[in-house]
Amino acid sequence: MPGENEIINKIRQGDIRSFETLFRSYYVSLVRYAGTLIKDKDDAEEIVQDLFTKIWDGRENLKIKSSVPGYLFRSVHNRCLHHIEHLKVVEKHFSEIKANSDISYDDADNELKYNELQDIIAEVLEHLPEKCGKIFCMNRFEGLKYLEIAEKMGISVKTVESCMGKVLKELKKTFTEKQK
Amino acid sequence: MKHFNNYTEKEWAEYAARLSGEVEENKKFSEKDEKRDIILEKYWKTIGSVFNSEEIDVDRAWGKIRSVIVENNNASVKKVNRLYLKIAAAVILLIGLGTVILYLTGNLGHEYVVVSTGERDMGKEIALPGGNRVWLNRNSELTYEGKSAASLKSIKLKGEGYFDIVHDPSHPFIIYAGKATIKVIGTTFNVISSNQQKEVEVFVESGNVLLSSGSGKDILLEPGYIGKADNKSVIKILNNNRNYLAWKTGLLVYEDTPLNQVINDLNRAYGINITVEDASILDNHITSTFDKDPEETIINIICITFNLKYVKDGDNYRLSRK
Repeated sequence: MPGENEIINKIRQGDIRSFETLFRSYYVSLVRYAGTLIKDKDDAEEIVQDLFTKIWDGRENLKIKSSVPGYLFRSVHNRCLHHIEHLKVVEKHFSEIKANSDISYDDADNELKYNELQDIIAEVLEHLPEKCGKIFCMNRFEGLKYLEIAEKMGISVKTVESCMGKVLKELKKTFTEKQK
Repeated sequence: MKHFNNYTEKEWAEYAARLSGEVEENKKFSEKDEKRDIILEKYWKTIGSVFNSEEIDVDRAWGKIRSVIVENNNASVKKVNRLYLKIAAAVILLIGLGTVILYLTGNLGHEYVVVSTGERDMGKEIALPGGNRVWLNRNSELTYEGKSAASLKSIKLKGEGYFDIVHDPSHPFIIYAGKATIKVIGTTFNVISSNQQKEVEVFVESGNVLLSSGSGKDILLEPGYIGKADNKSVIKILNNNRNYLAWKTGLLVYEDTPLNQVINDLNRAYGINITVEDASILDNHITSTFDKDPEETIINIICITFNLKYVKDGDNYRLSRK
């Protein structure tokens, strides 16, 4: 598969097939990610679709400073927060998410606000190589096993393992910083 | 196992693999392990676990995005075309080719009904007595007698129609199309009875249909099968085109499908005639879903995808490389 920088370049030139590749690579992950924040599947899909429409409309000036997944997750994150504010039901939403999620908030040492938790993923992905972000999405959001990811991307399982380790390490680092 | 502040790259990789369920049960954490970050682990395991039961349909989503993009790209062209379509529709109405329903009362007091569709009437739904329904494709005609399910008879079809027939064992539903007879008891199926070919084609979606040739040979069609009957014989084949009913549903689904097939479907569903300048264009493969998109939107999408252009002349479209 071509590098994502190359894909972004082609999108900038108006290549719809590269745009489709980008869309198909991240759509499920981004919708699931948005779902952790806003819970409604239709809204989550709409937010992600809207982001991609805006990316296409503004393709000529598209600049991604961090990694592609970092940029996408950050954008979806911001859009979700905006959506929640817009609905003015932040508290209601978070309490529902808390009630329905498996994450425990009881550990006194580990107490974090849920929205901060979501923020972490965007941050982590911004700091990691693109390939690792992509691998992380495929494993955590699309539910693919290491072997499947390796086959899809044409890399070794070892590389997948090492990338996943890097993400977890970065995640832990960011967690610790947030807790301070 | 040491505290993860001192983990090496390799140990982080092992930790991640363990949390991601990539190692066997016996290699998982034991009580002796040092302090673990429970919230980190739970976060790792639950992130992305929303909507697991519901499928997120990427093809459908891409179809939506793409039609927005194409719409925006061709905004000015579109306006002209819409206006053109309006004029075309008005002309068709003036010529009198729209759907015509005639209620004729015969001398025996039977009601005799003729429904015919015009060139632009695709998927027109018609209610028949007894809760039965039929969707007529363009340029088709259905005639029948009777006001109730019990008195319904002499159902004749010219052209193409999709039937949804209520289950009623005491009143089998019989359709005469060309030389063939189609006998059904509660089912949904599609009939093509064109005027040029003497062959009648029946595709069964649900239930069973008994198809008889002009000479009285018959064959039982189960769901998914296509039966073809002419004056003499009747045969049965398995339908392998998932878009067979696109003219009625408006839905065309493609997975790595050669453009050749797509063009055949579009020609059939929209009653248009797409040709290519260079036969190699037909070898391109497409993966896409079109849901009630206008024909020109779909052709636009194909052109953008494969870097083609098209010339439109009435219902004729000619595709060529840019």
